[in-house]
Amino acid sequence: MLELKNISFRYNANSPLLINNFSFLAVKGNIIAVCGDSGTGKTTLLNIICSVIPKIFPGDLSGTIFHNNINISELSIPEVAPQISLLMQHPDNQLFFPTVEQELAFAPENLKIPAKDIIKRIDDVLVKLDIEDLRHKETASLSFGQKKLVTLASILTLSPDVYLLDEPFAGLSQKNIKLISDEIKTLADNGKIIFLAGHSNDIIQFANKTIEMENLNEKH
Amino acid sequence: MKSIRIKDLSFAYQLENPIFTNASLELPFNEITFLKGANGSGKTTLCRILSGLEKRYIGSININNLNFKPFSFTERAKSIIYLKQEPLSNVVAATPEDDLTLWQHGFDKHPNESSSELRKRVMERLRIKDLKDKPFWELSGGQVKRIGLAALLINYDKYWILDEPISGLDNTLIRIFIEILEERKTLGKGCLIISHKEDKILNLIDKSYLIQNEHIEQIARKF
Repeated sequence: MLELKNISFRYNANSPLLINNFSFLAVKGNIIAVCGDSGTGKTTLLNIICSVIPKIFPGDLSGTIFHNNINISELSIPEVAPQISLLMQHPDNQLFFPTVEQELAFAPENLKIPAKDIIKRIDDVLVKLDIEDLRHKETASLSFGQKKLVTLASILTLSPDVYLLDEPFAGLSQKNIKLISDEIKTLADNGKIIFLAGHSNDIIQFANKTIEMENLNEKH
Repeated sequence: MKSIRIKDLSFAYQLENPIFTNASLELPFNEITFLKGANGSGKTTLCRILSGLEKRYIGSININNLNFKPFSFTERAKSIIYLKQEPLSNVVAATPEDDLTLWQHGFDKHPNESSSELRKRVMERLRIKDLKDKPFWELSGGQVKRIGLAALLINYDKYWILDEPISGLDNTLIRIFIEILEERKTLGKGCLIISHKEDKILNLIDKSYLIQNEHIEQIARKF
Protein backbone atom coordinates (compact mmCIF):
# COMPACT_ATOMS: atom_id res chain seq x y z
CA MET A 1 0.00 0.00 0.00
CA LEU A 2 1.27 3.43 -0.95
CA GLU A 3 -0.32 6.52 0.49
CA LEU A 4 0.36 10.12 -0.54
CA LYS A 5 -0.92 12.55 2.09
CA ASN A 6 -1.37 16.26 1.43
CA ILE A 7 1.52 16.55 -1.00
CA SER A 8 2.36 20.08 -2.13
CA PHE A 9 5.37 20.93 -4.22
CA ARG A 10 7.06 23.71 -6.12
CA TYR A 11 10.61 23.94 -7.45
CA ASN A 12 11.17 27.36 -5.90
CA ALA A 13 9.36 29.95 -3.85
CA ASN A 14 8.61 32.15 -6.87
CA SER A 15 6.80 29.54 -8.93
CA PRO A 16 3.18 28.41 -8.49
CA LEU A 17 2.55 25.05 -6.83
CA LEU A 18 3.03 22.25 -9.36
CA ILE A 19 1.25 19.94 -6.93
CA ASN A 20 -1.36 21.52 -4.68
CA ASN A 21 -2.40 19.53 -1.61
CA PHE A 22 -2.73 16.14 -3.30
CA SER A 23 -3.69 12.95 -1.52
CA PHE A 24 -3.87 9.54 -3.12
CA LEU A 25 -4.04 5.91 -2.12
CA ALA A 26 -2.65 3.08 -4.24
CA VAL A 27 -3.23 -0.51 -3.21
CA LYS A 28 -1.75 -3.77 -4.43
CA GLY A 29 -2.63 -4.51 -8.03
CA ASN A 30 -3.27 -0.88 -9.00
CA ILE A 31 -2.05 0.38 -12.37
CA ILE A 32 -2.13 4.16 -12.23
CA ALA A 33 -1.87 6.35 -15.34
CA VAL A 34 -0.20 9.72 -14.71
CA CYS A 35 -1.38 11.98 -17.54
CA GLY A 36 -1.17 15.62 -18.54
CA ASP A 37 0.41 17.99 -21.01
CA SER A 38 4.14 18.63 -21.12
CA GLY A 39 5.39 20.51 -18.10
CA THR A 40 2.43 19.73 -15.82
CA GLY A 41 4.58 17.65 -13.45
CA LYS A 42 4.32 13.97 -14.40
CA THR A 43 8.04 13.28 -13.96
CA THR A 44 8.10 15.50 -10.87
CA LEU A 45 5.38 13.41 -9.20
CA LEU A 46 7.29 10.17 -9.86
CA ASN A 47 10.48 11.73 -8.49
CA ILE A 48 8.60 12.69 -5.32
CA ILE A 49 7.12 9.22 -4.83
CA CYS A 50 10.58 7.61 -4.87
CA SER A 51 11.97 10.50 -2.78
CA VAL A 52 14.54 11.54 -5.40
CA ILE A 53 12.80 14.85 -4.71
CA PRO A 54 13.83 16.25 -2.24
CA LYS A 55 16.75 13.93 -1.42
CA ILE A 56 18.65 14.49 -4.70
CA PHE A 57 16.80 17.26 -6.50
CA PRO A 58 15.91 20.21 -4.28
CA GLY A 59 12.47 21.75 -4.04
CA ASP A 60 9.81 23.00 -1.69
CA LEU A 61 7.96 19.82 -0.66
CA SER A 62 5.38 19.26 2.07
CA GLY A 63 3.18 16.31 2.95
CA THR A 64 4.00 12.68 3.68
CA ILE A 65 4.35 9.45 1.72
CA PHE A 66 3.71 6.16 3.48
CA HIS A 67 4.78 2.87 1.97
CA ASN A 68 3.37 -0.04 3.98
CA ASN A 69 2.82 2.46 6.81
CA ILE A 70 6.46 3.57 6.87
CA ASN A 71 7.15 7.25 6.22
CA ILE A 72 9.63 7.13 3.34
CA SER A 73 11.14 10.52 4.19
CA GLU A 74 12.77 8.70 7.12
CA LEU A 75 14.52 6.26 4.77
CA SER A 76 17.64 6.82 2.67
CA ILE A 77 17.59 6.52 -1.15
CA PRO A 78 19.34 3.11 -1.03
CA GLU A 79 16.60 1.94 1.35
CA VAL A 80 13.75 3.30 -0.78
CA ALA A 81 15.01 2.27 -4.24
CA PRO A 82 14.64 -1.52 -3.88
CA GLN A 83 11.01 -1.04 -2.77
CA ILE A 84 10.00 1.84 -5.01
CA SER A 85 11.93 1.81 -8.29
CA LEU A 86 12.04 4.42 -11.00
CA LEU A 87 12.36 3.91 -14.75
CA MET A 88 13.65 7.23 -16.03
CA GLN A 89 12.33 8.86 -19.17
CA HIS A 90 15.81 9.09 -20.72
CA PRO A 91 17.60 5.74 -20.46
CA ASP A 92 21.03 7.40 -20.80
CA ASN A 93 20.45 9.02 -17.41
CA GLN A 94 19.94 5.62 -15.86
CA LEU A 95 22.52 3.36 -17.54
CA PHE A 96 25.74 3.23 -15.62
CA PHE A 97 27.83 0.19 -16.54
CA PRO A 98 29.82 -0.85 -19.64
CA THR A 99 27.83 -4.00 -20.38
CA VAL A 100 24.21 -5.03 -20.10
CA GLU A 101 24.99 -7.90 -17.75
CA GLN A 102 26.91 -5.67 -15.36
CA GLU A 103 24.10 -3.14 -15.45
CA LEU A 104 21.57 -5.78 -14.47
CA ALA A 105 23.77 -7.24 -11.73
CA PHE A 106 24.47 -3.94 -10.01
CA ALA A 107 21.28 -3.41 -8.01
CA PRO A 108 20.88 -6.98 -6.75
CA GLU A 109 24.59 -7.06 -5.82
CA ASN A 110 23.98 -4.01 -3.66
CA LEU A 111 21.19 -5.85 -1.93
CA LYS A 112 23.76 -8.57 -1.12
CA ILE A 113 21.83 -11.21 -2.98
CA PRO A 114 23.93 -14.39 -3.50
CA ALA A 115 25.71 -14.50 -6.88
CA LYS A 116 23.91 -17.56 -8.19
CA ASP A 117 20.52 -16.00 -7.42
CA ILE A 118 21.59 -12.84 -9.23
CA ILE A 119 22.50 -14.86 -12.31
CA LYS A 120 19.14 -16.60 -12.14
CA ARG A 121 17.32 -13.26 -11.90
CA ILE A 122 19.24 -11.88 -14.86
CA ASP A 123 18.56 -15.01 -16.92
CA ASP A 124 14.84 -14.77 -16.16
CA VAL A 125 14.54 -11.09 -16.95
CA LEU A 126 16.47 -11.37 -20.24
CA VAL A 127 14.14 -14.15 -21.37
CA LYS A 128 11.06 -12.28 -20.19
CA LEU A 129 11.94 -9.18 -22.23
CA ASP A 130 13.32 -11.20 -25.13
CA ILE A 131 16.72 -9.50 -25.02
CA GLU A 132 19.04 -12.44 -24.38
CA ASP A 133 21.09 -11.36 -27.40
CA LEU A 134 21.97 -8.08 -25.64
CA ARG A 135 23.46 -9.72 -22.53
CA HIS A 136 27.13 -9.12 -23.40
CA LYS A 137 26.63 -5.97 -25.47
CA GLU A 138 28.02 -2.62 -24.43
CA THR A 139 25.21 -0.44 -23.14
CA ALA A 140 26.59 2.55 -25.09
CA SER A 141 26.22 0.67 -28.37
CA LEU A 142 22.48 0.04 -27.96
CA SER A 143 19.69 1.86 -29.72
CA PHE A 144 17.26 4.03 -27.79
CA GLY A 145 14.59 1.32 -27.68
CA GLN A 146 17.08 -1.33 -26.58
CA LYS A 147 18.35 0.94 -23.81
CA LYS A 148 14.78 1.40 -22.64
CA LEU A 149 14.34 -2.38 -22.43
CA VAL A 150 17.61 -2.78 -20.52
CA THR A 151 16.71 -0.10 -17.95
CA LEU A 152 13.35 -1.78 -17.48
CA ALA A 153 15.13 -5.13 -17.06
CA SER A 154 17.35 -3.60 -14.38
CA ILE A 155 14.27 -2.66 -12.35
CA LEU A 156 12.69 -6.06 -12.83
CA THR A 157 15.78 -7.75 -11.34
CA LEU A 158 15.05 -5.79 -8.14
CA SER A 159 11.43 -6.93 -7.95
CA PRO A 160 10.23 -3.83 -6.03
CA ASP A 161 6.71 -3.33 -4.63
CA VAL A 162 6.14 -0.12 -6.55
CA TYR A 163 7.17 0.54 -10.16
CA LEU A 164 7.39 4.14 -11.37
CA LEU A 165 7.64 4.00 -15.15
CA ASP A 166 8.22 7.31 -16.93
CA GLU A 167 7.15 6.99 -20.58
CA PRO A 168 7.94 3.27 -20.68
CA PHE A 169 6.68 2.79 -24.24
CA ALA A 170 8.51 5.67 -25.94
CA GLY A 171 10.70 4.39 -28.74
CA LEU A 172 9.49 0.79 -28.48
CA SER A 173 8.21 -1.29 -31.39
CA GLN A 174 4.63 -2.56 -31.31
CA LYS A 175 5.92 -6.01 -30.48
CA ASN A 176 7.87 -4.71 -27.49
CA ILE A 177 4.98 -2.51 -26.35
CA LYS A 178 2.81 -5.62 -26.25
CA LEU A 179 5.50 -7.51 -24.36
CA ILE A 180 5.91 -4.77 -21.74
CA SER A 181 2.14 -4.25 -21.42
CA ASP A 182 1.70 -7.92 -20.68
CA GLU A 183 4.52 -7.81 -18.14
CA ILE A 184 2.91 -4.80 -16.42
CA LYS A 185 -0.40 -6.65 -16.19
CA THR A 186 1.36 -9.69 -14.74
CA LEU A 187 3.10 -7.50 -12.14
CA ALA A 188 -0.26 -6.02 -11.14
CA ASP A 189 -1.82 -9.47 -10.91
CA ASN A 190 1.01 -10.38 -8.54
CA GLY A 191 0.14 -7.49 -6.24
CA LYS A 192 2.61 -4.87 -7.42
CA ILE A 193 1.70 -1.19 -7.77
CA ILE A 194 2.58 0.43 -11.10
CA PHE A 195 2.58 4.10 -12.01
CA LEU A 196 2.77 4.90 -15.74
CA ALA A 197 3.54 8.45 -16.83
CA GLY A 198 2.98 9.48 -20.43
CA HIS A 199 0.73 10.89 -23.13
CA SER A 200 -0.21 7.96 -25.17
CA ASN A 201 -3.53 6.16 -25.01
CA ASP A 202 -1.56 2.94 -24.59
CA ILE A 203 -1.03 4.01 -21.01
CA ILE A 204 -4.59 4.94 -20.12
CA GLN A 205 -6.23 1.92 -21.66
CA PHE A 206 -5.13 -0.65 -19.12
CA ALA A 207 -4.80 1.56 -16.05
CA ASN A 208 -7.39 1.16 -13.34
CA LYS A 209 -6.77 4.62 -11.84
CA THR A 210 -5.83 7.91 -13.45
CA ILE A 211 -4.09 11.00 -12.11
CA GLU A 212 -4.66 14.09 -14.28
CA MET A 213 -1.73 16.38 -13.47
CA GLU A 214 -3.62 19.53 -14.55
CA ASN A 215 -5.98 18.99 -11.61
CA LEU A 216 -3.01 19.00 -9.23
CA ASN A 217 -1.52 22.25 -10.54
CA GLU A 218 -2.30 25.39 -8.57
CA LYS A 219 -4.84 27.52 -10.42
CA HIS A 220 -3.51 30.98 -11.09
CA MET B 1 12.51 16.70 -58.23
CA LYS B 2 15.21 16.77 -55.62
CA SER B 3 15.81 13.58 -53.72
CA ILE B 4 18.26 11.50 -51.74
CA ARG B 5 18.98 8.19 -53.43
CA ILE B 6 20.51 5.38 -51.40
CA LYS B 7 21.80 2.49 -53.44
CA ASP B 8 23.35 -0.79 -52.28
CA LEU B 9 24.14 0.56 -48.85
CA SER B 10 26.12 -1.69 -46.54
CA PHE B 11 27.07 -0.71 -43.03
CA ALA B 12 28.19 -2.34 -39.78
CA TYR B 13 29.45 -1.03 -36.46
CA GLN B 14 31.13 -4.40 -35.98
CA LEU B 15 31.76 -6.69 -38.92
CA GLU B 16 30.00 -9.64 -37.32
CA ASN B 17 26.78 -7.63 -36.88
CA PRO B 18 25.87 -5.98 -40.18
CA ILE B 19 23.10 -3.37 -39.97
CA PHE B 20 22.59 -2.90 -43.72
CA THR B 21 23.56 -5.17 -46.60
CA ASN B 22 22.89 -3.77 -50.08
CA ALA B 23 19.93 -1.71 -48.91
CA SER B 24 18.33 0.80 -51.26
CA LEU B 25 15.85 3.63 -50.70
CA GLU B 26 14.81 6.81 -52.46
CA LEU B 27 13.69 9.86 -50.51
CA PRO B 28 11.98 12.41 -52.78
CA PHE B 29 12.08 15.85 -51.14
CA ASN B 30 8.41 16.54 -51.89
CA GLU B 31 7.08 13.37 -50.28
CA ILE B 32 6.51 12.14 -46.76
CA THR B 33 8.36 8.87 -46.35
CA PHE B 34 7.71 6.67 -43.35
CA LEU B 35 10.24 4.16 -42.05
CA LYS B 36 9.76 1.57 -39.32
CA GLY B 37 11.63 -1.44 -37.98
CA ALA B 38 12.24 -3.46 -34.84
CA ASN B 39 14.23 -2.02 -31.93
CA GLY B 40 17.88 -2.15 -32.91
CA SER B 41 17.21 -2.74 -36.63
CA GLY B 42 19.09 0.38 -37.76
CA LYS B 43 16.56 3.21 -38.02
CA THR B 44 18.65 5.72 -36.13
CA THR B 45 21.79 4.44 -37.85
CA LEU B 46 20.27 5.39 -41.21
CA CYS B 47 19.68 8.93 -39.90
CA ARG B 48 23.27 9.11 -38.72
CA ILE B 49 24.51 8.03 -42.13
CA LEU B 50 22.33 10.58 -43.93
CA SER B 51 23.39 13.40 -41.63
CA GLY B 52 27.08 12.57 -42.06
CA LEU B 53 27.71 11.28 -38.54
CA GLU B 54 28.68 7.89 -40.01
CA LYS B 55 30.77 7.86 -43.15
CA ARG B 56 32.18 4.34 -43.12
CA TYR B 57 29.49 2.91 -45.34
CA ILE B 58 29.75 1.05 -48.64
CA GLY B 59 27.42 1.84 -51.52
CA SER B 60 26.24 5.17 -52.83
CA ILE B 61 24.16 7.96 -51.39
CA ASN B 62 23.39 10.73 -53.85
CA ILE B 63 21.64 13.99 -53.29
CA ASN B 64 20.35 15.43 -56.55
CA ASN B 65 22.67 13.03 -58.35
CA LEU B 66 25.74 14.30 -56.49
CA ASN B 67 27.70 11.93 -54.27
CA PHE B 68 26.77 12.88 -50.70
CA LYS B 69 29.79 11.30 -48.99
CA PRO B 70 32.32 14.13 -49.33
CA PHE B 71 29.77 16.74 -48.20
CA SER B 72 30.71 18.46 -44.94
CA PHE B 73 28.14 18.95 -42.17
CA THR B 74 27.74 22.56 -43.23
CA GLU B 75 27.07 21.58 -46.82
CA ARG B 76 24.60 18.89 -45.77
CA ALA B 77 22.86 21.30 -43.43
CA LYS B 78 21.99 23.51 -46.39
CA SER B 79 19.51 20.94 -47.61
CA ILE B 80 18.64 18.66 -44.69
CA ILE B 81 18.00 18.94 -40.97
CA TYR B 82 18.10 15.92 -38.67
CA LEU B 83 16.12 15.89 -35.44
CA LYS B 84 17.42 13.25 -33.07
CA GLN B 85 15.22 10.98 -31.01
CA GLU B 86 16.53 12.02 -27.60
CA PRO B 87 15.30 15.59 -27.17
CA LEU B 88 18.27 16.91 -25.20
CA SER B 89 20.76 15.73 -27.81
CA ASN B 90 19.42 18.39 -30.21
CA VAL B 91 20.10 21.19 -27.76
CA VAL B 92 23.11 23.42 -28.35
CA ALA B 93 22.60 26.31 -25.91
CA ALA B 94 21.39 27.03 -22.39
CA THR B 95 17.97 28.53 -23.16
CA PRO B 96 15.44 27.99 -25.96
CA GLU B 97 15.92 31.55 -27.21
CA ASP B 98 19.71 31.11 -27.50
CA ASP B 99 19.30 27.65 -28.95
CA LEU B 100 17.01 28.81 -31.73
CA THR B 101 19.27 31.78 -32.47
CA LEU B 102 22.12 29.33 -33.02
CA TRP B 103 19.93 27.20 -35.29
CA GLN B 104 19.20 30.37 -37.26
CA HIS B 105 22.64 31.90 -37.55
CA GLY B 106 25.19 29.34 -36.43
CA PHE B 107 27.85 30.72 -34.13
CA ASP B 108 28.18 33.71 -36.37
CA LYS B 109 25.30 35.62 -34.80
CA HIS B 110 23.58 38.34 -36.77
CA PRO B 111 20.71 39.33 -34.57
CA ASN B 112 18.20 41.39 -36.47
CA GLU B 113 14.54 42.16 -36.25
CA SER B 114 13.28 39.73 -38.86
CA SER B 115 15.14 36.81 -37.31
CA SER B 116 13.85 37.57 -33.83
CA GLU B 117 10.36 37.99 -35.31
CA LEU B 118 10.64 34.51 -36.86
CA ARG B 119 11.71 32.99 -33.54
CA LYS B 120 8.80 34.67 -31.83
CA ARG B 121 6.28 33.33 -34.37
CA VAL B 122 7.72 29.83 -34.21
CA MET B 123 7.63 29.76 -30.41
CA GLU B 124 4.06 31.03 -30.37
CA ARG B 125 2.98 28.33 -32.77
CA LEU B 126 4.50 25.60 -30.60
CA ARG B 127 3.26 27.16 -27.33
CA ILE B 128 6.73 27.66 -25.88
CA LYS B 129 6.81 31.45 -25.71
CA ASP B 130 6.79 31.40 -21.91
CA LEU B 131 9.76 29.02 -21.84
CA LYS B 132 12.00 31.10 -24.04
CA ASP B 133 14.44 32.26 -21.35
CA LYS B 134 14.21 29.25 -19.05
CA PRO B 135 17.34 27.11 -18.81
CA PHE B 136 16.92 23.68 -20.41
CA TRP B 137 17.56 21.87 -17.15
CA GLU B 138 14.31 23.33 -15.77
CA LEU B 139 12.25 22.04 -18.71
CA SER B 140 10.43 18.74 -18.88
CA GLY B 141 11.19 16.09 -21.51
CA GLY B 142 8.14 17.04 -23.57
CA GLN B 143 8.98 20.73 -23.41
CA VAL B 144 12.52 20.10 -24.69
CA LYS B 145 10.99 18.07 -27.52
CA ARG B 146 8.93 21.13 -28.50
CA ILE B 147 12.07 23.27 -28.74
CA GLY B 148 13.44 20.68 -31.19
CA LEU B 149 10.33 21.14 -33.33
CA ALA B 150 10.90 24.89 -33.17
CA ALA B 151 14.35 24.35 -34.66
CA LEU B 152 12.66 22.54 -37.54
CA LEU B 153 10.33 25.46 -38.16
CA ILE B 154 13.34 27.78 -38.24
CA ASN B 155 14.62 25.50 -41.03
CA TYR B 156 11.25 25.26 -42.72
CA ASP B 157 12.43 24.84 -46.32
CA LYS B 158 14.93 22.04 -45.74
CA TYR B 159 14.23 18.33 -46.01
CA TRP B 160 13.42 17.10 -42.50
CA ILE B 161 14.80 13.83 -41.13
CA LEU B 162 12.78 13.05 -38.03
CA ASP B 163 13.61 10.27 -35.58
CA GLU B 164 10.52 9.54 -33.44
CA PRO B 165 9.24 13.12 -33.65
CA ILE B 166 5.91 12.42 -31.93
CA SER B 167 7.04 10.40 -28.93
CA GLY B 168 6.84 12.50 -25.78
CA LEU B 169 4.49 15.09 -27.31
CA ASP B 170 1.14 15.72 -25.68
CA ASN B 171 -2.05 15.62 -27.74
CA THR B 172 -2.19 19.39 -28.32
CA LEU B 173 1.30 19.37 -29.77
CA ILE B 174 0.71 16.27 -31.86
CA ARG B 175 -2.22 18.11 -33.46
CA ILE B 176 -0.11 21.20 -34.15
CA PHE B 177 2.73 19.11 -35.53
CA ILE B 178 0.43 17.25 -37.91
CA GLU B 179 -0.96 20.59 -39.10
CA ILE B 180 2.57 21.71 -39.85
CA LEU B 181 3.36 18.54 -41.81
CA GLU B 182 0.13 18.97 -43.81
CA GLU B 183 0.87 22.58 -44.55
CA ARG B 184 4.39 21.81 -45.72
CA LYS B 185 3.13 18.98 -47.86
CA THR B 186 0.84 21.29 -49.79
CA LEU B 187 3.95 23.41 -50.43
CA GLY B 188 5.81 20.40 -51.85
CA LYS B 189 8.05 19.93 -48.83
CA GLY B 190 8.45 16.44 -47.48
CA CYS B 191 10.29 14.62 -44.75
CA LEU B 192 11.47 11.24 -43.55
CA ILE B 193 9.62 10.11 -40.44
CA ILE B 194 11.06 7.27 -38.44
CA SER B 195 8.75 5.80 -35.88
CA HIS B 196 7.05 2.69 -34.61
CA LYS B 197 3.60 4.14 -34.98
CA GLU B 198 2.09 5.57 -38.12
CA ASP B 199 -1.55 5.65 -36.99
CA LYS B 200 -1.63 9.39 -36.25
CA ILE B 201 -0.02 10.41 -39.55
CA LEU B 202 -1.34 7.66 -41.79
CA ASN B 203 -3.15 10.01 -44.20
CA LEU B 204 -0.02 12.08 -44.78
CA ILE B 205 2.34 9.28 -45.72
CA ASP B 206 3.26 8.81 -49.38
CA LYS B 207 5.38 5.70 -49.02
CA SER B 208 6.17 3.39 -46.12
CA TYR B 209 9.25 1.24 -45.66
CA LEU B 210 10.39 -1.40 -43.23
CA ILE B 211 13.95 -2.21 -42.18
CA GLN B 212 14.20 -5.97 -41.96
CA ASN B 213 17.03 -8.47 -42.41
CA GLU B 214 19.50 -5.67 -43.24
CA HIS B 215 17.29 -4.48 -46.11
CA ILE B 216 14.82 -1.67 -46.60
CA GLU B 217 11.59 -2.90 -48.15
CA GLN B 218 8.58 -0.94 -49.25
CA ILE B 219 5.34 -1.76 -47.45
CA ALA B 220 2.12 -1.91 -49.50
CA ARG B 221 0.12 1.33 -49.41
CA LYS B 222 -2.80 -0.10 -47.42
CA PHE B 223 -1.71 -1.50 -44.13
